[in-house]
Amino acid sequence: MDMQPDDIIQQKEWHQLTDAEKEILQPVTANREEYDLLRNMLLVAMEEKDEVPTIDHSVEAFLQTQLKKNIRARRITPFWYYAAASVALVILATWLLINKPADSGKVAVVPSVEKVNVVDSIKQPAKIPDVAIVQSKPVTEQNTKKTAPQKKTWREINTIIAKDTMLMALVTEVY
Amino acid sequence: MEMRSITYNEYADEQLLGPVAEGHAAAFAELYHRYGQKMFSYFFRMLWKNKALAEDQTQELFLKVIRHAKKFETDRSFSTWLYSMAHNMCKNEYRRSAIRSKYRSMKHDTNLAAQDKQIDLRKFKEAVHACMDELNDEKRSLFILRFQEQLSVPDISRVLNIPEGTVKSRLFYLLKEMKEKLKQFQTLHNPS
Repeated sequence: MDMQPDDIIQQKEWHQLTDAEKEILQPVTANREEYDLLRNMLLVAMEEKDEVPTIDHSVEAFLQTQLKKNIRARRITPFWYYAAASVALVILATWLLINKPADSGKVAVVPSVEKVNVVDSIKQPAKIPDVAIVQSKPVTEQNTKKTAPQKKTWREINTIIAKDTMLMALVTEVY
Repeated sequence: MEMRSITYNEYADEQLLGPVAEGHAAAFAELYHRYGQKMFSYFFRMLWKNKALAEDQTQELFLKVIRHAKKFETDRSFSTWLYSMAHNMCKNEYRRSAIRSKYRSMKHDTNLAAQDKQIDLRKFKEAVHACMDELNDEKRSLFILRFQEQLSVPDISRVLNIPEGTVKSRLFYLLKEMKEKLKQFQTLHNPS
């Protein structure tokens, strides 16, 4: 076993030391005087251990009551969880009952009306502007460039159609 | 049904923790019987020989045992666990308390003993106690654990959470320091 210098000092007198032990002790105690000094010091320190007063009996009594309380508390804890869960359920159920719509058997309750866009026949329809969006088609091969839709009045369109004899002939044929 | 006939005196410390966690008063009584006075003694020496404070700390320590008995890992040593907790509690107490500085100012000078050439045993004992009181918290803890609680180096290493090599070297320097402080008593041979 690995002997520490303090182990040797506590266990042996100077004259009992072997050469190997003296070698271990060399850094701590170089001679007998120093060795005895340390040995005496450790003996006094050991004696001091016996000078400690006795602990009061009330400490143990208190701890025993705490042991019982601790166990009781641990056993009671799950019941608290169940109780809390029950209370939460009761509150939830009450809230649901209060907010539930009344039974239709006794009192006629008009269901909540959804907002529907009903057409009012009396109401005047919104005035549609006398404007049409017409995509001008390429009439001739020259007019190959794409042009943006132009806004034209019906009168202008009629004039255009009247000028275009081919188109006029087509319209007449269709009618 | 509680089995009153069970005696726990043959149980190992670690085995007692299970019944303690289940609230067996007899198991706790056995544990307290083994370590109550021992831990009180440790606290008493660590906390400036203040009996009331040592009792409070012992009580607090065993309350921790009661509360955490269920979580105790059985592969650990109970005594090491107990000393570790006690050591940390002392450290907290040192931080918390201003008593220490007050106590230090009250201490008498060790060198006074040297003035008298007729050094007697009583003075030597006083000087040793004074030297121990003068040690800083770390060294005092090491001194008490090693020379009064008689803990092994590996156990101290676990309690103080430092490597074994560090414990050994600290013990070496501690002995050297004590030897230097008590040098004036070298002529004294047998204190007992």
